[in-house]
Amino acid sequence: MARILHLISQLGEGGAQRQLSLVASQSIHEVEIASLIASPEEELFPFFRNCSIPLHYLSHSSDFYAPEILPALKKLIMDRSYSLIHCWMNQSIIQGLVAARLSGIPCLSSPRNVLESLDYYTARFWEKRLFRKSVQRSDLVVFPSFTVAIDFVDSGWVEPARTRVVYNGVDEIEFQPGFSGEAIVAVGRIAAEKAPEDLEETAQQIHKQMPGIRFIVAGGGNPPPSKSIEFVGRVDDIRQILRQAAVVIHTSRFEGMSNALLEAQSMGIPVIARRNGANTETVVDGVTGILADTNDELARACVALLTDQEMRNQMGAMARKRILSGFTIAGQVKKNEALYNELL
Amino acid sequence: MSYYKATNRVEKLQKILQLFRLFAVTRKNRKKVQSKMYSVFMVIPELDRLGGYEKQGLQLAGALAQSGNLVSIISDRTGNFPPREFRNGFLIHRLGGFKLLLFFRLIVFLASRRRTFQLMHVHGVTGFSVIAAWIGRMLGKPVCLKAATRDDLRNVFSSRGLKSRLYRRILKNIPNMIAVSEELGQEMQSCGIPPARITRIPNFVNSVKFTVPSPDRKQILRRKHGVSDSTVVFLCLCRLEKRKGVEFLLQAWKEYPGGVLWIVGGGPEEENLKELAEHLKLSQVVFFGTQLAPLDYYQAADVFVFPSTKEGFPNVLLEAMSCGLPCISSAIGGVTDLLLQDLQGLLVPPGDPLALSEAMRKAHSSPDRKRWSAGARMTVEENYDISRITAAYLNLYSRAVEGHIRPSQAGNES
Repeated sequence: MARILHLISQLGEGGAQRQLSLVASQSIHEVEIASLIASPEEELFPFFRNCSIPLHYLSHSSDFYAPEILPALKKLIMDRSYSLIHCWMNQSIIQGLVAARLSGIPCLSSPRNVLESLDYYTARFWEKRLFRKSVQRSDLVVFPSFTVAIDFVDSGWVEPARTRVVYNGVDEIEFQPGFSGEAIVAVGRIAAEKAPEDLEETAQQIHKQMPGIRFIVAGGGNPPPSKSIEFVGRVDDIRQILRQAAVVIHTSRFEGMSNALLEAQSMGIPVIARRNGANTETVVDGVTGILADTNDELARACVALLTDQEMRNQMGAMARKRILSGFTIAGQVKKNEALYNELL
Repeated sequence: MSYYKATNRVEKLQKILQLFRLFAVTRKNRKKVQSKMYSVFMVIPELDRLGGYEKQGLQLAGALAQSGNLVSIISDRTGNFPPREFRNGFLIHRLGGFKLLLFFRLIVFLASRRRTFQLMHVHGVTGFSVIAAWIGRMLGKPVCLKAATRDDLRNVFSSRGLKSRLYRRILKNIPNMIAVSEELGQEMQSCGIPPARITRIPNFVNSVKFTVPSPDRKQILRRKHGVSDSTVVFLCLCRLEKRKGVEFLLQAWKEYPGGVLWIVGGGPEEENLKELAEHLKLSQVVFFGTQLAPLDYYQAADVFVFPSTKEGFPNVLLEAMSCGLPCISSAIGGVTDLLLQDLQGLLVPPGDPLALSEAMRKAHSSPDRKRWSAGARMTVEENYDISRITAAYLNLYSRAVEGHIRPSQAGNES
């Protein structure tokens, strides 16, 4: 058994945090979590509010590159004598790698998104350059899907020999099928990289053909004013929203690996998503959901599914089956442990 | 910890410079790791034509990605398709331009990505693929070449043109050749490729998608076309072109008017064949044209008829067998690899309508049909399922990578 430090930029709401919580809670190793900055209590991802895993905050400012972070991180590694550091988000990969090299322990990094969306996550040019260098120099690089992996390899960011892929897991017991709602649900933060204006356009298209159908959007951020969409804001237990869903729609333009799609499929809800990024891996087009290119096609697919109960049931069953066969937490944790063993 | 905020530009710049200075430490002490996956470049010319071997290539890429490998497909761009596209866990590159420009692009593309791939897998013997194989060799990568159509190689090796001579030189030096059928293997040998370099890996079929239908499903599908349960449905599904020999089937049908004959597929011969059917005054023949979902037809039919005269490795026959259809086929290369007389169906001499009608008469009333059907499905599951073939390819890749000697090293040894 080894002591492993998981380093993350912040502990707010998001895909990386969700995966971290799953991996940390199931790991056989002794796990501690460090966050570059401290998020306010109310923005914290629910799991971290009262978990038994030790949390360390490296800075109390809102700046990911505050000068006290690196010394604090190095001191933490020395004090607690970790044998491995696993970095989860772009900013933490840069500083985690430096600290790991300074204290002589191996570093594992997990970039989570396709390079196309890099501008949204690391805006400054020097940050991009450092990010690229740190991915190139990490001991192992773990990707959430083959799509992201091949994207990085093809762009020359990482050698094939250091590339590993671990699919995200979804808690198949928590996310049980067996509910049938009538609404259309979308899950995701309201942020520029998730293209909220597409959501609005698709909702309007659907309402033209099926007036009166509910279109619920769950996720933090500032919602734009809208007549056709019900924004419910941040939800701690997303299952309550998913239980009202007949279909789940996902309009995001870049996906490294979408947790929202996995959770919906685990609950036996057919999904409609854009045909790009890792969506072609998570969703089998025409079997567990429908993939489309434009907002028009998304809306059309949505209406087609809503009017066909039989197809919805069939797709839902296939979706659940697929999740059980390839996207369980047990599988994810096992693969992660294998990676750690490779480096320890 | 003190609360810190960069108040002016100079302070911010200092902070960044500090980070860059510290970053130099990351060059050192990198742990050695072993590669766990293959990164394969697949070269498939004219990918979007979606013929038999393009589809096989796409499916293989998907299966390889599923079993944990990094796969990129490189193709030339035909039509309005995106130049870089992610699909089912692999990446497709389509290079634009033609002739010299295309070759130049290909060279730049592969040379700039030489660090990102371990192995090159080339499909087919066209200009694009042969040049790609040559560049692969020049970059010092192991190259595998799969020849899937008959006479491709022979044409290159028998012609005297300058281009053929160039191709011949390249092809003779490729260390791993993949033959999809026994006959293609012999063709390679007759072209002077040593047998040790030739690996036989047949085509595959997804036996989970192409399955034996349940009786209910079969009934529903047949009702759709107004066919009763007792009628025997003969199915011929292929592209309608001269070499497929469908006219022999129509002539044979004149001798044997029992059951129904479905002909599915389009192609240059479609109109001629329809005329011929009219001329011969055939009854009970239905032409369906090109169909996007062939599965329904396989699952509704009773016997598959394949009168082709020349094949590399017929995918339709494989699909039909995977759906548990007894097959009547002409005994040609590629077919005889997977179909044995009286085990999965019947073999007839190619281009012989009399023998074909005789075989169909036999199949119509024979109690052996059930046995043939089971035999066909079993053959596919045991030898031609996608999972088995993927394993065979991975095996070949590992041999290719391990046994690979870089050209420069080979020079030193000799």
